Amino acid sequence: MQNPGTGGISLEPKTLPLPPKVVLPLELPMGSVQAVVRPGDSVREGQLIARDEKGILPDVRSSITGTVSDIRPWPGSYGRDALSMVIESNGESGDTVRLYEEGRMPQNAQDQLRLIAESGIREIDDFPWPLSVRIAQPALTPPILFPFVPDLRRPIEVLILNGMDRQPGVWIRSCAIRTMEEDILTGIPLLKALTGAEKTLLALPKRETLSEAFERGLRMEGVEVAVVKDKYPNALEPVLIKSLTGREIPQPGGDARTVGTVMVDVLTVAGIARAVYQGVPPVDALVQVSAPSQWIHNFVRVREGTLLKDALEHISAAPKDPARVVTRGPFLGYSVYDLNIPMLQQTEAIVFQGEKDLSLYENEPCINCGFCVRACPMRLFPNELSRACEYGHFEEAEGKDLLRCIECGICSFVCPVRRPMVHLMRFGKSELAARREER
Amino acid sequence: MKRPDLYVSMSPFAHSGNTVQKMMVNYLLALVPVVFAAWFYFGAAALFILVICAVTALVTEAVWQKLAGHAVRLEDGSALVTGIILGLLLSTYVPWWLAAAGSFAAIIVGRHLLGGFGNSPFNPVLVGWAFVQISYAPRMGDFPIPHPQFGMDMGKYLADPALITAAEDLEMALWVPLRDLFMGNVPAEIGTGCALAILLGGIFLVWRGTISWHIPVSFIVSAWVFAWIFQQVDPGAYAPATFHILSGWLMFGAFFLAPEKGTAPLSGPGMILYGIGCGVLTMIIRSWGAYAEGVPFAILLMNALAPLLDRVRPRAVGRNVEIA
Repeated sequence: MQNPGTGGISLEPKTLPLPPKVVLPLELPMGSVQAVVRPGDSVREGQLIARDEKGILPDVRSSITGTVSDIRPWPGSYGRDALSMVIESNGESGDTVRLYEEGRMPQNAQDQLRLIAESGIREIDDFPWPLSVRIAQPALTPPILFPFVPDLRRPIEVLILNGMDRQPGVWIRSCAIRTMEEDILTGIPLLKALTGAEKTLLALPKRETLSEAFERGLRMEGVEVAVVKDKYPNALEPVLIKSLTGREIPQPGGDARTVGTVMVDVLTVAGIARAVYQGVPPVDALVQVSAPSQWIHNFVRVREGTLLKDALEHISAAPKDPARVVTRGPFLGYSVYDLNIPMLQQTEAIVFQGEKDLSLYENEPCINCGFCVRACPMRLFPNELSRACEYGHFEEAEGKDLLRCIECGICSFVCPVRRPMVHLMRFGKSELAARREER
Repeated sequence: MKRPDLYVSMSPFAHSGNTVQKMMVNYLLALVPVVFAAWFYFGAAALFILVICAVTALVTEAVWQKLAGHAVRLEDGSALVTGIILGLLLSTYVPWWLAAAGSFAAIIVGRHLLGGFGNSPFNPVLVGWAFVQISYAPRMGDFPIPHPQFGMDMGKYLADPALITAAEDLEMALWVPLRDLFMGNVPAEIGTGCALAILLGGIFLVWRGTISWHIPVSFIVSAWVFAWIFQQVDPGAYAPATFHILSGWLMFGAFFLAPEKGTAPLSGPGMILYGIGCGVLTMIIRSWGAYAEGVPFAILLMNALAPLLDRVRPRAVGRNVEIA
C-alpha cells in the first residue's frame, strides 16, 4: 500500500504535561525483567527500577519522580495484560538521574555498549535481540552469547539506518528526522564504531527532504542515502535489507546479523547519542496519536508509561467515542480493550478508528483471486497457507513456507473477501510450535 | 475499572476496500466496449441474447443458493459477469432457449457443482459453452454477417474467421483486410469479433489490477510467435501470425477467459507458462485439429493443468539461502 504523504500535517511534537502516574511494563515479548524497587519506595526520574538478571535485556528506568504504588498486571501495548510497575508522580520533574557522573563519559566501546543496555532504550521494531547485543561487533560481544546465537560471530558489514516509517499513515520517524537531526548526526559515528560496519546506509522515503546541514553531516560521515519506494511493507527489516543489499535473511530463525547487516531506526540512533554523550536516559516516549479518517494526527512527547487516557485529556483534537483503538500502528499493531494502556517508546502510533473505518473480517472461502500472492513480500502463497491453516493441515502449511511469513498483513489488506489471513497464519504457527513442544 | 466499549481483532486493522463486487464492476466496465461493438455490428439481436444469458444466470444463481441453503448474494455480480461473458461467446443466430441452457449449465455445473466461485477447476463460462457447443454444434456454427453498411458485401466472406484459419481456406483468409479484423467487421460471435473493443476492455482490467498482465501477454505473444514460425516454414499452408491473433476468440480468450479466478495459476512463472500453453495449444488445434477455433479447448486443457503449474513458483524469500 502506498503511504499517503504527510499532506502538510505538522510533524512538530507537542510535549504534554507531567502525568499523575506512569505504568511501566516489566514483561515484554522478548522476556521479563525483575523489579529492584518495591511498592512504597520512592524513585527519581531516570532511576533504575528493574533489570534483567541475565544481563541481556535492557534495564527499565523510572520516567517520573514519585512513589512506586503497585506491581501488578496491567493492560499492555501488545493486546494482553503484562506485569507492570505503577509509579505515582509527586509533581516534581527535572533532576534526572544521569547514566554517569559529569565528566566520566564512557570512552571505550565495551562501556558504551553496557551504557546503552542500562539506559533502557527500546526499539519500535520487534527484534529477537536487544539493541546492545545487535549492534555489537563480534569483538565486543560477550563470548557467552556465541553458543546461543552463532550469528553474532559474523562481522557487521552494512549498517542500515532506517528513516522509513514502518506502516502507512505513521510518520514517527519522519518526525524524528526533522526534530532530532543533531542527535542523529552525533549518533552515527558512535554506531559506526560499535558495529565496525564498512558501509552505512540511511534509508529514506522518496518524499523526505533533508535540511542542508543534515545532508552535509551525512556526507561527512560517509553515509549513503538510499531512497526507497514509500510503499508498505518496504520498511520492514527483511524487506528493506533485501532491497538495499540484495541479501536474503534465511527464514525462519534468521536475523539481520546472519547476513552481516544490522538495522537501527533513526529514533534509536538519537536515543543512543543522548544516552552516551549526554548521559540522559530516555524518560520520554514519542508517540503519534491519530484518527486517520478524521485526518487528526498528533505527535506527542510524553513521559514513558503515561496512560493513554491521561494523555488524551491534553490532546485538543482527541477523537471521541472510538470503535477500535490500535496501538503500534494499523498493520502490525494490536487492538486494545482498554484506554488505560501505557504509551511506551515502542508504542509508535495509536490509531483511533470510528465505526465506519472498521475493517472487519468475514468467514468466507478463498476465491483464488491471487491478489495476496502478488502482494506478498516474501513470495509466499497466502491463499494456500490460509486454507491449510483453516482446515488444520499445519504440516502442509509448514512445507509451503508458513514459517517464512513475517505477518506484515498485506494479504489481509488486499483480500477481496476479507479473510483473516494473519490470524490464520498465526494460528498455524502457534499450533506447529505446540506440536513441536509435545514431541 | 470501567471498560469502554471497544472492538478487538487481529492485525491488520486496515483494508484496501477491494471487494468481489468491485472486481465484478471492473469486469462489467471492461465489457462495455465489447457489448457496444456487438450492438454496433449485430444490432439488437446481440443485446437480446446477452440479456437472456444474464437473466438466466442471475435466476439460476439465486435458485441454487436458496436450495443449497446459502445466503443469496447476487449483488456481488459474479453470476452476472459469468452470464454476460457466456452470451458474448454465442452467435446471434442461436435461439433464446439455447442461450438460456448455456447460461444455466455455466452456473450450475461449471460454477457450483464443480466447486463454487473461485474454486472451480474449469472456467464456468467455457463449461457452459462446451455444453451447448457439443449438444447443438450446427446451430452454434452459424454466424451473422455484420450489417452491410459497414463496408462488407454480403457473401464476400463466407465463413467465420476461425473457420478460415483452417489451412484449406487460407486463400480466403488472406482476403480479409487486417483492419476489418481489428475493427470487428467480420462474421463472428457476439463479443469475439472486435479486437479493438476487447483490447480496450482488457487493458482496463490490467490497469485496474483485476487481472495481471502475465496471462494475456504470454497467451497472445506465444500464439503470434508460434504462428510466425510456421508461416516462415510454409507460407502456403499457414495463415499469417497477425491474422491469427486478431481473428476468432484469441483476444477475447486471452483477456476474459484464460485469467478466470481459480482456474488459472497464481504465481508469475506459472501464469506465464499457462499463457504460453494456451497460445501454443490454440495454434495447434487451429492448424491441425478438428475444430476450427482452438481457444476454448486450449483454455479448458490448460485449466486442468493449472494446479500443476501453480507448483512452478519462485523460491520463497529466505528459503534455502546459502550464507557465505
